[in-house]
Amino acid sequence: MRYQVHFSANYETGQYGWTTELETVKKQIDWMLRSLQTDYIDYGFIHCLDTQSDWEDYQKNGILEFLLEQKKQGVVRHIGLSTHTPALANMVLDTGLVDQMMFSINPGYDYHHGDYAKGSADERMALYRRYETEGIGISVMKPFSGGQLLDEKTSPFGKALTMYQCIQYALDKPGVLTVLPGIRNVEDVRQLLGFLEVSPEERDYSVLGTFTPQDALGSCVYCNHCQPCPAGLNIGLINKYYDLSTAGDTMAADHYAKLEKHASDCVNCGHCSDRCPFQVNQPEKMKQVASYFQK
Amino acid sequence: MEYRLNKRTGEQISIIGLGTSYISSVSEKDAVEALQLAHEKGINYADLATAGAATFSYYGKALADVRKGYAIPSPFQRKL
Repeated sequence: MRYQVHFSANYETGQYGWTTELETVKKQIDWMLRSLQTDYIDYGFIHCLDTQSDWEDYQKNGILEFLLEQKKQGVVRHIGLSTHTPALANMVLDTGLVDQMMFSINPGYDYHHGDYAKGSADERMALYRRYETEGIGISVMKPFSGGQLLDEKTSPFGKALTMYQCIQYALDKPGVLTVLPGIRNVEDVRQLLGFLEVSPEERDYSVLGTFTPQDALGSCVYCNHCQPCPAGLNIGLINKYYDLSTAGDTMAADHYAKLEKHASDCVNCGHCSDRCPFQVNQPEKMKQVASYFQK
Repeated sequence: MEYRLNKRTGEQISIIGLGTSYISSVSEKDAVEALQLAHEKGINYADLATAGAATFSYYGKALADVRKGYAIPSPFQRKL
């Protein structure tokens, strides 16, 4: 089991708290390692920064330096960042320090609903592509928006989604490696693992298309609801490689080249657009992709 | 379980991981059983930003032995 451990989380009171005092951080990390009965941290996290001043304080107070020192000594293997804010994420990514990022991803936050719905739909998607392009993994926190999305009374869409729909939604985003739902007991774990057993229909979240805001319509979210394509194209993957390549991912063109069918094989039948919950004009998109990749 | 590769660290990470928000609110026995089941089923990634301090000792109790298996000997002494 690999651990994400957060440098500036503070449990002195027995409950979660947050500190920017270096001495407290040091004591807390020591206490966490002893409680965990381990002597290493897989991913040492720059913890929960949401504003530029958080980041400046983190450096000024020596916490970043302490974290990097622990990495140098081999206690911390890799550096992570947890944040809810795309602008801050980009700022920290620019340092090149980060290998893994914990970010809150769910359809609510991506479509402007909820406390942590930071950044526009486009800005958030651009960030996910940046992670994928730079090879940084995303671990997803708050996949159900703190449970809000699972109950029609609290869901911002007026309709409940299932856990499995939300997990699939997050896993389809570029860069995402893992989704981290909270568990308390054996039943919770079994329920989560059920995701691996259920049918594709039970994971399908295309219902979201009916309540997607205007600024997010017309963009492919790689949900594959358009399948099966009569001409055999993997339209979701074609879109993903195109989006990644235009975002600067140098590997994406290679991946695209290796696909069995390319955008140029599109026969313009419109089956995909009829099925697309997000109102993407896929035949037009295929023309654009074919002209970009020259096949 | 399915795994995805972190290209920068070379680690294969399970697509389902563990959040720990409220595990500190249950008994040690319940928590330890849950964590051991998760490990047995191939879950290999957990976040430790948690609501309560008890989470850390629950993980210690459930998984300390497993973690020893992963450890790579380090020439460095831990200095805090």
